[in-house]
Amino acid sequence: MAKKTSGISPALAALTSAAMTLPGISSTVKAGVAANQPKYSFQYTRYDEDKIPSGDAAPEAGDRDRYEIDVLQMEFLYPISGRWQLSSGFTYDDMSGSSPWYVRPTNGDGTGDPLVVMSGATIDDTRYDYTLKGDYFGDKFTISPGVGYSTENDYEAMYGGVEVEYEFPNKLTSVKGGVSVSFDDIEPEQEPGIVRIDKEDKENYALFGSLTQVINKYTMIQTTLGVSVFDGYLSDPYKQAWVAGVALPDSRPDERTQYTAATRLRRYSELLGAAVHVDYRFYYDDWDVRSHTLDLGLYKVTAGGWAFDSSIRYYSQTQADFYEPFYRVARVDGEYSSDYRLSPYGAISFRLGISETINNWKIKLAAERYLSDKSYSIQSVDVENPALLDYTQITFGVDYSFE
Amino acid sequence: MELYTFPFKAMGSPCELRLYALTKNTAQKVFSQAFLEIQRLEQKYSRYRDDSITTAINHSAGNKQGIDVDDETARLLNYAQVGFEQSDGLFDITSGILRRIWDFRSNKIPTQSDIDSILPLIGWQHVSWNSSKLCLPKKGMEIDFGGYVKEYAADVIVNICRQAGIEGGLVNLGGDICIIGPHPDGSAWKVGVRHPRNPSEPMSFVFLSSGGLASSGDYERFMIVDGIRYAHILNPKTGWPVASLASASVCANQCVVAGTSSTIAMLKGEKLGLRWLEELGLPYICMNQEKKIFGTLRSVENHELV
Repeated sequence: MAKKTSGISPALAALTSAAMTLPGISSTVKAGVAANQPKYSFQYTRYDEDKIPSGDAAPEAGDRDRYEIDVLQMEFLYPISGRWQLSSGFTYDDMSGSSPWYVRPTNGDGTGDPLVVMSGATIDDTRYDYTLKGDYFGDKFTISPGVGYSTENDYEAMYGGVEVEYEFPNKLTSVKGGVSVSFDDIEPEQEPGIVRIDKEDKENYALFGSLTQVINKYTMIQTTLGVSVFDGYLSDPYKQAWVAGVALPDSRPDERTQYTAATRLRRYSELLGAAVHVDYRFYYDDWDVRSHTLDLGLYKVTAGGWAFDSSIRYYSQTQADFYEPFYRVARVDGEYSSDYRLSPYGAISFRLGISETINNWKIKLAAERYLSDKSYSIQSVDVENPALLDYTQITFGVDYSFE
Repeated sequence: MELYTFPFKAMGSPCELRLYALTKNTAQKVFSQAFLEIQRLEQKYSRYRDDSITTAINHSAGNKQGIDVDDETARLLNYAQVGFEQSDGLFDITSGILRRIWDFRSNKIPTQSDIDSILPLIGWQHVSWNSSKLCLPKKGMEIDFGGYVKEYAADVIVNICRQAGIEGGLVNLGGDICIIGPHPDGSAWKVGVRHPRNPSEPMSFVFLSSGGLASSGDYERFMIVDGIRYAHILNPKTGWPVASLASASVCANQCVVAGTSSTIAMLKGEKLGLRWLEELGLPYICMNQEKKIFGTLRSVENHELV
């Protein structure tokens, strides 16, 4: 008899792939079917930024404690008919703490290591965000329009978009595209003695397209290309930059175009009894920030219904062309920002999640630890921004599906 | 956690659904959902019912316009096409009309001219199929989903039970088995494989905690004429029964794949059929006419599909 070969036979692969496209067999393919029953989801997240180390803070830095944010999220998914479902979401954020205000050199003559100065007063803010999204499952297309509104003390945003997904009859290939717009207004809180804008706005237009291909029963690959254009006030009114001994308002270009290319690979490993996720994303914008993100994950479901997902993410970015930790001399274009988010750095994060489904309930718990540092960057970084972020995030969630 | 067993009849066979559930009420609710689904599939794909899609397709034979089919039927036809391609034309859903001349209760062999008159109406390669429109080019052509819709139904039922929260259980549709999940203590189900010459005695036991087991054999419908056994395993190319294995039973993650694999093994005959199963790499057990047993499932204890 023929020797049993390792690997899957082409005939079995062909039959299995065809079987997996049969409706009712493939439980992984959820697209194209509206939910049968209403579902209610609740999630609480505690986000906690590490204190700025005393060695990185200026003596007058103020409170070195950074943001703590409590996030409550609720979503209600409601099937209208076999073809339509609606979901409405509400998010409530409560944040408090200080944030980096500006970075100054150790010495007044512009020499020495950069030190961060924190915002004087503790910031307390609350954000409310409402979303409404519909999904229409046509015979060939799924169309998902959505709108949202977000408000906080000093900020207001309205956004909307639509996504269209087409699944080829072979059920192995699907393409998706989407457009979205957002209009944001900012009206910062004023503080005596500090020059701030009164009111500004910005607009964002974004476009993406993606292709998903099921290679075989074990492997799926997805590629996404996106472009996003911002226009308007893109600075942070609560930040300043140290320019030759004077603190000037954070001032960035008023246009920014971002490009992303991402590939996601999902492969089920029989050896591990788990799905392996490999995601890579390249980002580039016309402020000259380039970044690479690599995410490796493992997703395993046990016979008892427990699901574990763990991932490790690596991130590295280059700086914006006008960024400096502080400016010894003034720039001709008048653009200044010492925001750590525009600085060169790398980051590593670890995530572990666990969930269990019991009857109509699904209970989820996840934790993430994020660390950023100049030494994690792909390129060598001369001067690290002293306000680089480390944080811990813990999430608890419950889903309830009605019968 | 209690085991609830629901025997019923569907698709012309005795069937059974076994469910582990906390309450009888839950088990009954899931069973009625599953039963409705089997009835739906039976009505939709029955070749005896006037309102079935099978009848509608068969009535359209000879119409050059063809017929538009729904999404589920389209996917089943795609599957049939893959089965046809992978079996070199032996798995052919247009071959059902051979039943018109092969009546296994008559104890009469059709003449070669009877067979020759019907062969031109057989052959998936003559069918035009483009993922939503099906055209049977000649009047009198027929298709029949009977060769795999039962196994497909078993897979669908398993999914329905799992989505309803059932973690342990088993579906048995006329001997085609699909596992919902193991016993609550994690142990596998012990499933008997039918002996082709002594249907009341299993020829082997298989331990399964996931996936499906499907069997095909010459014992289902046959006649013995002049000492020769003629079974319903008909070669669509010649129109004659295949002198083949007595039975082939195959395990696969999907019951429909197990069923198609065992059917193709029977159609290929003993030598090529065993080679086909070896190449697939799926666990199987076969018996030939001399009652010799082959296959990897022969002596497997605690076999578990990944």
